[in-house]
Amino acid sequence: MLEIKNLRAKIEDKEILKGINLNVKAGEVHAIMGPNGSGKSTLSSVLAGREDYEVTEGKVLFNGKDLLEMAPEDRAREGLFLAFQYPVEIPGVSNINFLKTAINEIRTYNEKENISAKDFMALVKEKSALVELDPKLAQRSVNQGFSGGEKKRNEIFQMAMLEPKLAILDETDSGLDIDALRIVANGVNKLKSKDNATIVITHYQRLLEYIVPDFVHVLYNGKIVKSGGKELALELEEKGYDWIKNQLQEA
Amino acid sequence: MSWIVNKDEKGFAEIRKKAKSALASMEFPGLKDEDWKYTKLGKISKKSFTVENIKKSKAVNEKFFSEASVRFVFENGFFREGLSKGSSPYIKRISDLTEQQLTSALAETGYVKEGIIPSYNDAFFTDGVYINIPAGTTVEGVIELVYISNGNAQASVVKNIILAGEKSNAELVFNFTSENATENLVNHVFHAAVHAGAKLTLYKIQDEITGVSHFSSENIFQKNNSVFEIHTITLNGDLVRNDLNIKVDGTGCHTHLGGVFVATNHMHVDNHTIVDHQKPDCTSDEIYKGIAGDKATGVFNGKIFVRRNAQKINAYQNSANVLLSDDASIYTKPELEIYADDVKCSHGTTTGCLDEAALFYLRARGIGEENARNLLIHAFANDMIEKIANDGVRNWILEKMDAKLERDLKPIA
Repeated sequence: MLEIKNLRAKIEDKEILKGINLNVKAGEVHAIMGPNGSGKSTLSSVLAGREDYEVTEGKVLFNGKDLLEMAPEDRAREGLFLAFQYPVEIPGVSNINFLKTAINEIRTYNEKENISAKDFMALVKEKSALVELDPKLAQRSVNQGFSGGEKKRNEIFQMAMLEPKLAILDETDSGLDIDALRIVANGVNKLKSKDNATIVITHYQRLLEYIVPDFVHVLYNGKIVKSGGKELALELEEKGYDWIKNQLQEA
Repeated sequence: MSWIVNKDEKGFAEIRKKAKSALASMEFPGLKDEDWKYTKLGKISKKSFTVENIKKSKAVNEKFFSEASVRFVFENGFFREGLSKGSSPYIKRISDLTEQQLTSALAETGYVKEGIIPSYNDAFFTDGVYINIPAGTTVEGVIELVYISNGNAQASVVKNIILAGEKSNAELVFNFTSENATENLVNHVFHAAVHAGAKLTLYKIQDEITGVSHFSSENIFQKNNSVFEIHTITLNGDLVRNDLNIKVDGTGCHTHLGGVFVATNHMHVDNHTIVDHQKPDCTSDEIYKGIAGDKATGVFNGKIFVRRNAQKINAYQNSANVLLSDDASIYTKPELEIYADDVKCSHGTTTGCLDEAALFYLRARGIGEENARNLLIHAFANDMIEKIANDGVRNWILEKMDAKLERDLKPIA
């Protein structure tokens, strides 16, 4: 589904991604872990199409198409979803209006008819229940006045509404208490299928107790330096990132 | 050659004479005049406008506020009975007053900021309304006053007076619009006295067509425990200048000034406001939002006075603006003059482009760039309008705003 080949990216003159290689297939859950400043958020931003970053080398194929050539909206329409680490507050734009516009633009792109008002409202009801989000929040302005936990649940609610092929969760666990974490993880797990894939980007192992990954990758200094199964996350939790740093220095 | 020629001058000889003699020694304000620094009058001062009863207007029902309980329609400053609706025991036409009655009504409103706009108004006004709401009366529904500008090089010069009696309550729509107008002028002067415990709410919609310039001077006088609220929505016009002068001469008052303008093409929109707190224990809040695109210019000048004896004042002012093109400009100038020592005043002003983070967030959900920009612009413009409590008025203004944005927002290059 997603093939990242030797991806290098910089912001201003600082190179942050220094040759990333990653393959994600349908049905898989990948975790990308790493210390602060290793390039985790840069990777998610580059994949989603944020223009602050300049890709200097490499290729990213998404279902065989060149992802880096696409505008951010086309990436979303092709089925890529980024759950933001810091969801943006947009005063005056209601969640409902925003999601309806998004769904219909995605449907138009995929040559489908607009969703009916009735089907849309039924979908809102169903999916907000999934993340235990008060349906009243759907009427409010996007993320405005939401608590930290509500913002993160709203991200997963949007993901549920848009049904992406590939979801990238960027530090979705940051700032969540244990109950919110459980709700968010539960939502993600329910949305999992053999046809879609998830990349969980996180600093801590905590979230991975709830969203069990098939693969764990350690990102350090702009490169994936170690990959393994879910047990790698536990090892990291136990030994800390210094373990990786020391290993690299020894090598 | 006179700037304005009134071909249909009737009555009020003393008021006109006094104003004309004042005008004889008055020049158009230039750039050195601080109040007109960003609004150049050179071009418009060289034009000439005629006041004439031309009666050309067709029914422009779709431009009216359909839920109005009473509607008075004036075309180029002349009353059009056929387009109007209903009557009210509290409303008279200015042209039906004697000079003595007009003078005493003006004296009751108590406060006029002198200047070129009121002087031209006194010299050339034709009509308008005089609304006298008795004490304790709540006016049912919304009164709508429509001013249509029509024809070529015509001036519409109108005067409106409202005396809101003690503990009365009224809501009014001022609907400024135009039909087939080219190079026209609108001069509107408004006086209101909001007596003790009264509440007066005004909605002023400026939706002239391109080529019509608009000059307003609004003078409000508030007494104890009164509430005055005004929403100024500017959607169209050539050169638009609003002078809003509020003197709060009572304790326990609240004053709310909300404003939104969308300046596109070559529009120039200038909002000058003064809130003068003369007595203690009052609150005022003022929020103006502006959007300037193409080669348009927006000006906001908000002055707040807190006089020496006006303790415990809580005054808030904010001006937020969005620029949509490199050729658009916004000038903002908050001015606070505080002479009391126990007050809470705050002000803020921001001018920038659309929020890039919000734009990316919308696009990352599959919304195309142009649609995402439009969503943000609508949200910015509608934010103030959505705070209007009256459902009918709010929805009517939202529709007008939508129509304006859809008509005049240029697709991104």
